[in-house]
Amino acid sequence: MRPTDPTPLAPIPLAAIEAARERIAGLALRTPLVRLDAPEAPAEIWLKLENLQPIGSFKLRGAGNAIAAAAPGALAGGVVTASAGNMAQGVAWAARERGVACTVAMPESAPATKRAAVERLGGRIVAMPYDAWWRAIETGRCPGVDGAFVHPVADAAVIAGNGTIGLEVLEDLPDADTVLVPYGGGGLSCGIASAVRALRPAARVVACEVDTAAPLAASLAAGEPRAVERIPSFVDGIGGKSLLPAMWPLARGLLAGSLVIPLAEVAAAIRLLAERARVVAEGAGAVAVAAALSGRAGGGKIVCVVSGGNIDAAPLARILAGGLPEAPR
Amino acid sequence: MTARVGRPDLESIRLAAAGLRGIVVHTPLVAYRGDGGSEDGRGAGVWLKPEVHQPVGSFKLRGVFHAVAALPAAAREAGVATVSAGNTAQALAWSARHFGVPARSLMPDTAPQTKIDAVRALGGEPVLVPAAELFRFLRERGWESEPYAFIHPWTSGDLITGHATLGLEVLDDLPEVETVYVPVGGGGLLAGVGSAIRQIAPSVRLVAVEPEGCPSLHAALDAGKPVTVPCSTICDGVAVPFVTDEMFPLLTKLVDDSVLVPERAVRAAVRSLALANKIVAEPSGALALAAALATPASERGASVCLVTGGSIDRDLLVEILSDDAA
Repeated sequence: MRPTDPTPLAPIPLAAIEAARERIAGLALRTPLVRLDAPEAPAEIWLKLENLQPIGSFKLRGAGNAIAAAAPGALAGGVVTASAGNMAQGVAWAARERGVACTVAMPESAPATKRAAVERLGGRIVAMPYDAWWRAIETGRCPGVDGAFVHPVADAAVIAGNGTIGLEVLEDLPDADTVLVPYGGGGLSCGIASAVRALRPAARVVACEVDTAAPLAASLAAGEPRAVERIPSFVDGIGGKSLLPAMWPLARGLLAGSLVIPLAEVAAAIRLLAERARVVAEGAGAVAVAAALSGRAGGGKIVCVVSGGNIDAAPLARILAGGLPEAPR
Repeated sequence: MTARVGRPDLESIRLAAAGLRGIVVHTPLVAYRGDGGSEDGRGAGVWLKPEVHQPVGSFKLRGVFHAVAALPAAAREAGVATVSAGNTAQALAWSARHFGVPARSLMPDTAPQTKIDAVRALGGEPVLVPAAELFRFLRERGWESEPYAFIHPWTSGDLITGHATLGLEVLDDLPEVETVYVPVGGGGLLAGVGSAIRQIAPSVRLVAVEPEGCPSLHAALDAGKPVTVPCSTICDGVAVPFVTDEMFPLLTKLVDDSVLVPERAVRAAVRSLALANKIVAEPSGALALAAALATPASERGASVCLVTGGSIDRDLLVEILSDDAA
């Protein structure tokens, strides 16, 4: 809960992930791992349904662990985070459960539905220019706003909370060959990979990005962090223009590459998930499934982390009808 | 006179649950988060049991698999058959594939294409007939002249025992539950779940839920005996115009209340399940939630809604998602 250390993060020890699981039991759901009915697929595909979490995404795990792990005194002034999306809801939910005040820094351009979702959970919103907001994420500080800062990604406690997904996956499918994880900030994939490396080193954890913005793939190819051009799309949960510097060494060390998925395949995966798995996934939540279906991830037993399902009715209807939603402005 | 359907005992239900481990998913209980629940997203005491996460997309696999597994091997080898609006046929085809035997299902020719295709994809053989002929087959015990082992979709004792495992899970996961909302078509689910719950937690209220457009149990309870009602509803999974004589006595004994849901409320519940809880439910799968939301929280207390299945035609789902008024 300290401001994020600018020095690179280390892999999360298994003990920290196991402790996180104890802390978030009862707060986050132990989501089911279900087999995808896709006989035509090149692999045996399993789905870890994090979209079923109470806030519609996995973010409750990391936020819950960070807040539960904090010393009681550290939270007297409330908590603060910077997020325009799912993490904002995760921190607000976990703060409410702990009975502490929550403030969320959001870019002024954040859509009304995302603001309303945080306010419904009792969170206070501070709107700021996009650049100031991004600086808060980069530095782990939110000047002028009181409270302990919970970093949306690069916080060891947040990553440990995300890692609990890895524990559950290997309990349910001990012989998994590959785990595919959407890569946004890297906190989800690195958390899961920390757990998998400790428990089943033979399994690969592979990042998945969308071709409208794939900074990890570009950075891995270059051997150093690279910025990319970012084309806005309906896939709003992943795909930034650059990596968070603190995450780079961790991602490079833990992840067995990044698969870059065309936007249309992500939409097709959302359709398939609705029809064959009877769940709603947002773009980021479907990207791993698209990767598995494409054959890019190989064969064997593949677990796809369906990270979230927060998509509005209109773009969802458009995708289910066979189209592609327009990009947000 | 046909034999009445009896109540499966707890030991059989627990054995069935053990036999189904690794086959069916122990589905999670999740708090309902949409409109009509509480503003804070805590669910106002409404919990969902999303059976859409079962391998064939509905709870039917519980009872059907258990019934197929319970057949003597020789009888099973000859093949298995049922009558179904779609979900039971899928469960039968899935189970038959598991055992490597053929499966045939009589289905109404009005069944959604999604369900017909799904049966075929699993290697089952759908036989499409007009709904009237299908119900006549059931009434006149047409299966007695069939070569395949017939699994009755509502009254098979083993099927009901398999369905009852759902009740065990509800009580394991939410011991403080006060009301359970159960959609009713032929009544097999209610017979199973109700039997489990009555034996373990007799004070839990059991509410039977049907669409206004096909109120066969409701009308039978009113009349004190089975009657045939006209059926017109988007809830294809429960569009059964009568409760059988064999089933009626058990259902009467189990049910505390019977609720009818208007079509509009079903559509709103389908939409809400998709957007708030990320669950794709077919109309009959959304009935229980629609009924709970129509009841004041003070009357129902902590409530579990069985979200029974998710085989919905894509066009209908798109239409419901595109309709802001739903």
